[in-house]
Amino acid sequence: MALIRGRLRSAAGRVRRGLAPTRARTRLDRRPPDRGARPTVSAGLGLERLDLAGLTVLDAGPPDGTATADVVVLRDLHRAEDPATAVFRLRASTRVLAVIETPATEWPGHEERGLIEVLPVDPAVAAPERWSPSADGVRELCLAAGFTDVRFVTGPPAYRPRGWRPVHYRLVVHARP
Amino acid sequence: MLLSVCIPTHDGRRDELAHALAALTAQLGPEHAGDVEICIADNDSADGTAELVRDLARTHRVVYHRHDRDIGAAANVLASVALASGEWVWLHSSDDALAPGALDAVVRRLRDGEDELVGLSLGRARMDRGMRREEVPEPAAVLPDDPERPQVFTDPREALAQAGIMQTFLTSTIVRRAAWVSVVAQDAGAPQRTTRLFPHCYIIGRALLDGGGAWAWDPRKLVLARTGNEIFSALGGGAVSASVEVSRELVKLWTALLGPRDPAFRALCERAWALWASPAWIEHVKLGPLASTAADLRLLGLVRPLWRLPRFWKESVPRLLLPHLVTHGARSTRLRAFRMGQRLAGRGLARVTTELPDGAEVGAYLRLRCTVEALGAARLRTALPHPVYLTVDWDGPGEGRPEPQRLVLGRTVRPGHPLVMDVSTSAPWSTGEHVLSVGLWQQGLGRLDAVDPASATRRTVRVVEQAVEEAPRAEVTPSPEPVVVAEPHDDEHAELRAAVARIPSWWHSIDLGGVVTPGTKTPEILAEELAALHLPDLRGRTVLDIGAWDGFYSFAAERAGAARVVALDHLVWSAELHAFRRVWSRVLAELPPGRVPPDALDVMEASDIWDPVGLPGRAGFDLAHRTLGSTVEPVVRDFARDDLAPLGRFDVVLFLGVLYHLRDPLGALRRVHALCGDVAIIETEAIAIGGYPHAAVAQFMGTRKRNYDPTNWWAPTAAALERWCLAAGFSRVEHVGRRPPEPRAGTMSPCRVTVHAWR
Repeated sequence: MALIRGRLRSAAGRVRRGLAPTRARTRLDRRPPDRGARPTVSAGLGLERLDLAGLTVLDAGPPDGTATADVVVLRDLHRAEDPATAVFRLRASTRVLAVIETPATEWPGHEERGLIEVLPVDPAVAAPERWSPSADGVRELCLAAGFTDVRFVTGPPAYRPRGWRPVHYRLVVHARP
Repeated sequence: MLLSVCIPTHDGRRDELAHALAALTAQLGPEHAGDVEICIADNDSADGTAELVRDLARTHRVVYHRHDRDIGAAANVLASVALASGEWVWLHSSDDALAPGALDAVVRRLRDGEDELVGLSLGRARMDRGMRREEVPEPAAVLPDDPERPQVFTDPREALAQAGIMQTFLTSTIVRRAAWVSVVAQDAGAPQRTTRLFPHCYIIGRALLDGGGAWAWDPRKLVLARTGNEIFSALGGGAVSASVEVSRELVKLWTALLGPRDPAFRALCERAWALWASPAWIEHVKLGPLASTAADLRLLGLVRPLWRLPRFWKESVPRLLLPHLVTHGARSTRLRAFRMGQRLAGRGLARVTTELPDGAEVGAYLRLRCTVEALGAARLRTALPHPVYLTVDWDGPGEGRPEPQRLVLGRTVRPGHPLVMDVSTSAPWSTGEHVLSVGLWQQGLGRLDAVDPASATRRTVRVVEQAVEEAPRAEVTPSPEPVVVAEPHDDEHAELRAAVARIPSWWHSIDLGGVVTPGTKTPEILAEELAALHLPDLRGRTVLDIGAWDGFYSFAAERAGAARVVALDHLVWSAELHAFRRVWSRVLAELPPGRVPPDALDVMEASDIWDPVGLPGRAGFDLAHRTLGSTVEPVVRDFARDDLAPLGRFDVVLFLGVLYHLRDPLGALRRVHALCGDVAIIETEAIAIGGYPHAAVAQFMGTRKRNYDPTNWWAPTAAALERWCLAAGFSRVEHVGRRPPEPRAGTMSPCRVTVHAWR
C-alpha cells in the first residue's frame, strides 16, 4: 500500500509540474477551470472534449419541451420551481447530450442517497435559488427522466475523509439519452 | 425452562413481529408448557408492538421489556438474552419466522441431551419479502463445507471457520445460556467494544474458544429468513457501503477472537472473499448503474482486509484495477480502437446444456447445473463491449413468474474449456405448463438462440400444486383472501360482511357498525395516526380531505362535527390497487435490463384497468359512505393537475400521506395553500439523516423507490418540509406528533412527519 501511495503522490507531483500528459492533467486536476481563457459556451462544461461539428447547441434556461437540440445546456436547475419536471423536459429536448451545470452540496456520509438541499426562499428575490442538489441527486433526477448515461464532468470533490461539514461545489453533469 | 426464544425488535417492525409470533405460537402446544418462553426486547417502538405483545401474553408465557429509548440493534440483542431464563437461548430476529415443525424439531433435539454443545446453527430458507416463497439460494460461503450433512465441530477454531458467518444471522443461532452468561460475566462491555454490529458473535466465539464445548450444524431449513429488507439503509446507503461496514466489523471480530495469523481467520477471510470480492461481484459494482468513483473507492475499502489471500490478488485485483471510467467510455462510445470482443453470429458457436426437470411444485426452489461451451473459434467473453450472459427465462400461463435472470459468466469460455454454472430459480406461482429456457444473451446482439438454436435448452415444465405435507406452511403465510374482522356467527351483519368481502382491497379499517373493514392499515395503526395528527377542533368547520381513498379521515372529520367534509381523490379511485400491482409487475417483467421503469402513473393511465368513470377503486368508499349514512361529498379531481378553484376554500385541509407521491412537492403545497382558509395538516413520509439533525434536505427517489412503491418521489427532512411550506405561502409551520429520530452519523432513518401549516 505504501508503494502505491508513493506512486500516486509522485504522479500527482508530475501533473503539478506539467510533466504529465494532457489527458492525465484533465483527469486529475479538479480545480475549477479558468473561465476567462476558454470559449463561453464550453467554459468548464466539458464540451471542449466533444466534437461539436454538425451538432446544434441549445444553451437556455429550463427548457419548455417545445424545441429539441443535439446538445442542451441547463444552467438553472437550482432555480427551477420543480427540478424533477425541469429535468424531464430537458430529457424531452435532448437528442444527443444534456449538460447540467449547478451549484451543488455534498453531505459527507450520505453521498449515495439522492439528497437535494432545500434552500430558504426570499420572496423579495425575483429568481431565488431554491435547491442545491448532491451529485447523486442529479444522477437520480437524470435516470428517472430517462437518461441512461450520467457522468460527472466537474465535481463532486474527491472522496476522502472530510469531516461532517457539508461541501459546496460546482457540478457539471453530462447526461445522454 | 428448556428454551427461551429471544426476539429483539424495534419501531416499524410490528407487522413482521406479528408474523413471526404467529409462526412461533402456531407451533406451541400444551406439550411445551413450562419448556418454552418468549422474551421480547423492544427498542422503544411506537407502532403498536406493546399492544400486540399484551394480547399474546394472555395465552402464552411472554417476558417483555420496552426500553425508554432506542439503545441500538446490537445492544438490544444482548438485552433480549438478559430477559431469558431458559437453559438454551434461541436468538430470533423479529422479521424472520420459524418453518412449520421447527420448534418441535429443536425442542426434541435439545431434550435428547446435547451436553457437549455450546450451541448450534440451523439451516435457513431465504424467502421473499412477503415470506411466500423461497427466492434466493444461500451463498455457499455462508454454509459449512459439507452443508447437506449434520455435523458437530468439536474444535472451536474449526467451528468458527465453518459456522462463523452463519452465526452472524440471529434466527439460525441457538446458544447455551450458561456459556453466554459466563462470557458476559467476565467483561460485560467487551462484546460491544469489540464489534458494534455483532456482539453476539463475539460472545459465541469467546465461549467456544474458552473451552465451552462444541458447535453443531443442522442442515434442515428450520428458519424462514426474510430477504429484501437488509440493513443497508441503516448502515449508510448502498450495498457497497453496507458491505464495507459489515466486512470491517467481521474482520475486527475475527481478529479479536483468533488473531490475524490463525488458519481459521484465513478460512473466514476466504468466505468473505467469496461473498464480497469475487470477480463477478466486483464487476457488478463497477459496471452497474450506480458505478461511480466513490463506489470504486468504497470497494477498495471493502476488499482491503482480504489482501492476505492469493485468490484476491489473482482474481479480484485485475478487476479492481480496471477503471470504471474506461469501461463506461468503451461501452457508450463503442470504442473500436482495439479489439475487445466480438459479436457472435451464425450457427455452431455456442452450446448450453442443462438438465431441466419435467415437473415442479408451485414456487419450488430449483437448482440447475448448466454447462456452457464455446464451439468453433468463438470465445464467449465477459468483457465489454459485447459480454455474454447466461439467461434463465420462464414462459407460460398466469401472472406469477420469476423475473428473467441474466447472469454474468464466471470467466471467458474458450473452445475446449466448458464452464459449469449452478443457477437457481423458483418455479412459477401458477399451475400449468410453463416453458423454462436456459440460453445465452450477448450485449448488442440479444438472445443467441435466435441465430443458433443450439445455444439454448428449453423444456416444458408441468407446475403443480404443493404436496399435502407442505400445507402447514399456509399457517405462517398471510392469507391472500380478505379477512372480515367480526364475530364469526353474527347473522345480523352477514350481508354487510359479504359486501365488505366483495371489495378486492381495503386500505383503511373502518368500523361500519359491527363490521370492521380489513384494511392494510389496522384499526390500531389508524387510531395512533389519527391521534398523532393533533387535529384542531373541527366543529362547524369545513374540511377537505385530499387523497381520501377509503375515507377513514373524512368520516372521522364528520364524526368530529365538521359542517362540511369533501373527500377528494382520483388516482386510487380510478384503478383497483391489486389490478395495478399486477399491471406494474408485468411492466417490470418486460423491462429490458438496465432500463429505468416508466412513470407508474403514466403506466396506470395507459393501462386497461384505468377507469376514471366507473371508479373501481372507490367501491370501498362508497360502501362505507352508504353504510354509515355519511354526508361526506366525494369529489373526483386530479389534485396535481385539475383546476380546484371551484371547490372554494376550506377551514381545514387534510393532506395526509400524499405529498411524497407527487413529483412536484412545492407546486402541490402551493395548491394546498390556495385551498386552505386556516390550517393545513400535512403528513408525509420523511427522512432523518444522521450527523445533520437540522439539515433541510429532501431525498429524491428517482430509481431507488422507498418500499418498492413506484409512486414514491420525495422524502424530506422535517426542516425541508418546513421550508417547502413557507415557500408555498404558509405564514407559520408547527411540528406536531413524534419527534423525528436521530440516527447516528452516516446513517439515515425513514420516518413520518406531521406539521400544521397556518395560512
